[in-house]
Amino acid sequence: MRKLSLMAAMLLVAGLMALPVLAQDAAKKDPPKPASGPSQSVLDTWNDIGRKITAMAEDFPEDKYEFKAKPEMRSFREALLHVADTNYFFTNPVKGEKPPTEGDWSKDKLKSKAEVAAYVKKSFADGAAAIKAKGDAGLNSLVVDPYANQQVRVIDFAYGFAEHSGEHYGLLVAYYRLNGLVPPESRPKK
Amino acid sequence: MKKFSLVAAILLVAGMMALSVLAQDAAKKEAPKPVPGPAADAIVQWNEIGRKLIAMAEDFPEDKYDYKPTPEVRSFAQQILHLAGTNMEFSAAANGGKPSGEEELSRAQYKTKADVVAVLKKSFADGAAIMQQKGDKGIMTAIKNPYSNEMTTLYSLALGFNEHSGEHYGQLVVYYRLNGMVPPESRPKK
Repeated sequence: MRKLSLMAAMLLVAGLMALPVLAQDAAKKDPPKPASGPSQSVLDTWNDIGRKITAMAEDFPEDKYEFKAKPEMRSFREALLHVADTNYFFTNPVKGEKPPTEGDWSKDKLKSKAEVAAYVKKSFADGAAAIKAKGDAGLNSLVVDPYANQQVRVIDFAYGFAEHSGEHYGLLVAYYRLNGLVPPESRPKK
Repeated sequence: MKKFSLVAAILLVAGMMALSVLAQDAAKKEAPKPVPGPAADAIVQWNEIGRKLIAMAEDFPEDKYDYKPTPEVRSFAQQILHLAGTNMEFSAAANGGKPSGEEELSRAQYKTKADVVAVLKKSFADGAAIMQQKGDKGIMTAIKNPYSNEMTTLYSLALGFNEHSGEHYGQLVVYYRLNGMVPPESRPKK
């Protein structure tokens, strides 16, 4: 009986060891998901950086919203508002509307964390809605880049703005760390 | 004679003002430049963030290369080496190879500023060369995403990588400022 138990235990352990290997093999053999359309790909990139920046806006302590690493730089709040304002240089032309002008800057208008976070969120949601409305075919339509008087495909234009958002995300990562805080995206996943 | 000079001066100033208005009008009316193909556009965006990062790597003082604003984050050199490493993953994926999983190039291996600059430059140049070689059709062909079990295109991958490069560029902007320096891109244009 004792010998049998030992054997059973050994088999059980061997079985348990084999299971993860099998699971890994299955994962390896799963064929990769097909490529999503260009509209979905650019939307994923746009929404991903939007999500990360919105999470920061909602998470950062309000009493540190005016923090800046150096006096000549934008504060945390100003950097967020700059990203959100800039998003409308994408969204407006794509919707056939005029790009914002200096009078539209939100820097002196939005002060509270709740206002700023809501505006950041809305700016990414509005951009995402404009991308969605274009769909795969419409993303190859042309708009004029107001910065360069250059025709540009909507899809290339969107990726350019995502990169711009990325630059300011990186800046805010440093602001987090300088305040002894870990950016939401860099925290261990639950 | 004196009166004549005054009239002449007024006419000259008026003429110059008119000319400048005309020049502005001409600039406004100039047709926007035509759109490049997707490969050319992806390369332009890739090279643009590449140029800004290479300028930093070449410009930042070598004796500050191991600077980090807080102990838990990457040093200046480690940031650059991380970007070079991820660019290499991009090139590997573009060539149908497997990702090495080693995005963090070792500071021990790239000891000098010259070493770090060279590997970054090469990583951007290699990525651009592959896209150039693939052309508009090739860049839109499905390839395996090195970071997930799904297919993507080299085009989507490149522009997603640009956003990632932007995030690190934004962090390095803060490294510059904290060292009392202005990033090359933010200096007044000559």
